[in-house]
Amino acid sequence: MNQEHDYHGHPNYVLTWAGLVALLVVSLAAASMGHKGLALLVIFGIAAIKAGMVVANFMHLRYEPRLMLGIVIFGLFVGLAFFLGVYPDIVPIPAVLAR
Amino acid sequence: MTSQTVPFDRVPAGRLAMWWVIASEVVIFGGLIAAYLLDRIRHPEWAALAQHTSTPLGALNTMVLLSSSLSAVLAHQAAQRHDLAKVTRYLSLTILGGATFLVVKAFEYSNEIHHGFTPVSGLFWSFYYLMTGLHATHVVIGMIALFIVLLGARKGLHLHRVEMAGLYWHFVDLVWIFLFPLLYVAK
Amino acid sequence: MIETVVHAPEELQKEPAHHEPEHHPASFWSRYVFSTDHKMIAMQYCVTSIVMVIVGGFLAYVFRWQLAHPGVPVPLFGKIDPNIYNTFVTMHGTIMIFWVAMPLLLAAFGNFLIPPMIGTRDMAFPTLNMLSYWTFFISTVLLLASFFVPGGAFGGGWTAYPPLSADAYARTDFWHGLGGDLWILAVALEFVAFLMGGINFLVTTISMRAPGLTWMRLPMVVWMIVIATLIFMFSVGPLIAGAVMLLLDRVAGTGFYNPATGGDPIMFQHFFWFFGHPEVYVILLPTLGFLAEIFTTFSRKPLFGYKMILTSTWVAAGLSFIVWAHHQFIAGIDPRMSTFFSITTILISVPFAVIIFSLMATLFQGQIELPTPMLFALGVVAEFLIGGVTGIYLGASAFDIYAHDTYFVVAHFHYTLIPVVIFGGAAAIYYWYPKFVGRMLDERLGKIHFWGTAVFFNMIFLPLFWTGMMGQHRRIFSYEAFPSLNTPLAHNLQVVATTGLILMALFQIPFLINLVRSARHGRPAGRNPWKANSLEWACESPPPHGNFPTQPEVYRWPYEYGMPDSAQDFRPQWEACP
Repeated sequence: MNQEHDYHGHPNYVLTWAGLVALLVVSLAAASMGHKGLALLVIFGIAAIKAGMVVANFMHLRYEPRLMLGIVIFGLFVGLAFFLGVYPDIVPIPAVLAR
Repeated sequence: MTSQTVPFDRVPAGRLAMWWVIASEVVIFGGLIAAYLLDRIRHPEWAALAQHTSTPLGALNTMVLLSSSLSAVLAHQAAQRHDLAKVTRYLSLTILGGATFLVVKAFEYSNEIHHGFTPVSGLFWSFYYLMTGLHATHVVIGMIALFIVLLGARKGLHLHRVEMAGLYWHFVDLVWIFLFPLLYVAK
Repeated sequence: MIETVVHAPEELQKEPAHHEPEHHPASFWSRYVFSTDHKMIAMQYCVTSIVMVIVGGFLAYVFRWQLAHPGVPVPLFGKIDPNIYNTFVTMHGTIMIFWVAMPLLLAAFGNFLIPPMIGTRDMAFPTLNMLSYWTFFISTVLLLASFFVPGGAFGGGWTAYPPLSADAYARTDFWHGLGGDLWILAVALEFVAFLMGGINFLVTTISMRAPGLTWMRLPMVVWMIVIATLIFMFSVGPLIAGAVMLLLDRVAGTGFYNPATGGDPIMFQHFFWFFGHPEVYVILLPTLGFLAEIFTTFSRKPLFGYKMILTSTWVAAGLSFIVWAHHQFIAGIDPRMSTFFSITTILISVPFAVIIFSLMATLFQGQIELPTPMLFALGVVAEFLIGGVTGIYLGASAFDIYAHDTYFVVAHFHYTLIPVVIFGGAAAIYYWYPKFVGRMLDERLGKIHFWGTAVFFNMIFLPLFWTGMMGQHRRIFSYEAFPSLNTPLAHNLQVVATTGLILMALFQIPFLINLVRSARHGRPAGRNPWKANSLEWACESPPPHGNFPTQPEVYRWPYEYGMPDSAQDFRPQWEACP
């Protein structure tokens, strides 16, 4: 399309894919851990790492300007703001007392 | 981040637009996941209901989507090298991956409905069907986009679109990376 | 590299139209209906919003008549029952926000102004732009169609709170209650349309600016439209999810907002206001941008505090995501959160105060001229101030708990929205109509329009502050059922307000006549009738397809007015240094 089109490189996609599959196996194994809190931490930590790998390598965000990462992070921040703002109105209220 | 990058206003317009689409989709799924999480934390008893979702089939679908993402990005690489045979092969593989995903999903749905878990048999199941259904809608949209791109790309037309459809497809994969632990793995 | 080869033919095909628009044969359909030209799409949005403001205004007239003269048949309409009353109040709010304010301020002016102001031929994705309008058009048709289904249009308030909006009682069978489903679909489609348009605005502004047009040389109105688009894009997502959940509650019988299944109706209130409050800034920011352009042009002074205005706008945009629950102080939210949201709400008035003061400082010691666009722009500041200041009262939860859902609130938000949408929209139309159409609007009719609107707008809403403080609640069909609130004074104030509405509506007629007549008989405008600096004034009026004959270059920011030692008192952006 234009001259700058090719500014991003091609990381090793197959290796990235292999890493993603390995992490999937780890997270399935973690699900059967005895300690529930720790298991959740591992499972969602791995999900975040997997997402980071897809975004950085498959979607080439590591080659894009920082601001592009900022856009996505701001989207996540907005979701978090919603979660935190609504939290006190949903979670501590027993369902039987719901409005 | 590597140093070999360009200023924000030199990113190609199509790619920039695709990232804005993704950003607005992040917020849609972000709101939905936030709502689910709030209700899930409020109802610890949903852990028992989550036992009824099939983790093996979910894991299989995760594999399928991850692999189709790989072929999507390989198609993009082939497109930049103008290797039309490879572009066609990898794009077809990606679409096939999407179709496999939908078949497995349909199998899961019918199995769950067979056991009496329909969209109206409780809030957990409403969320389950809404979130996976919305995701499946995105899979279908992505497949249509990939198919349209494929029609041109195999003749060497609009090759830059391979990357755009691919970006969208990776986003669909990304959503599933979070939906899988949220609905299947976490008990 | 490969791409260059592939795309070269397409680029070449566009060239002829660029230089000689006459040689580009276009049928009526491709020119006026399925046009991809940003100016025609802007015109389509503008005309649609003017049609919708007439519909929304008529609804207001019907229910205001009922409030002033309960039980008396409405002239031009007939008898009104509580159901019709609820429906009309709901649809009035929905139409005025989503089908008037947003399409006019954001879509019409965004489409019209961005490409010429940044010195480009069209939007980055013209076809997407056309698709955006036609999605919006379908949503408009769905919304208007909902008036004619069995059971009538949606009547659950423009905020559509469940359980009322989700409840099965309104739905006796599939057809009866369809109005609510159509309402949700129409609103959701409209969001999709504006997302498509918004992505276009962002990409166009980011990557297609003329050479020399750095970010800090961008006209303020383009900044404001871009930031408004960002706010819209990031706040609307949760509501789209929430609207799907509401639709499923209505049609499929799920219980996302039903306590009986473990859901919670307050979740929807959060979804709604998480979008709904940022939305008011989406509407406000374009008008602040119009003011920046109009004030500098007609006071012949540089914009005061460009960077300060910009910084304040970014701060306000960030804060706008954490103020939403001030709409829910009496909805049973956590009182500690009420404190938090009170503080953020009062905080967000600071950046807006900075912007308004900067605009007023722009006027200070300027050579002020008062043509109609300037009158309307000054009107925005004067009237919006009343709305803004009462907003600070209402932002404090202690006062809001008393005033919530009274006419005080109604008066407050009409004092913000009418200056921003009606005055701001009118200011922008009077200012850019010569560019849009190529002819000047009539000044005499314009002045009649302004004074009639300004005087009678206050006649509607000042009395409503008063009745609100007396305790009159905003969602009552007839106060005859509440004798203690229906004092003679309160009733007379309601009559005054309704009379004001009818008079204000009558004073819009000169405006409509002006719009139509000046298109034929107005004085030809020439390229730059207001002696303004920004790039759109370098085009012909109206700009031809492709806007500029050659790629313009930009040498400075757009606010160099009142230059003492030059032949003319302004230096346009496109003129190289002498």
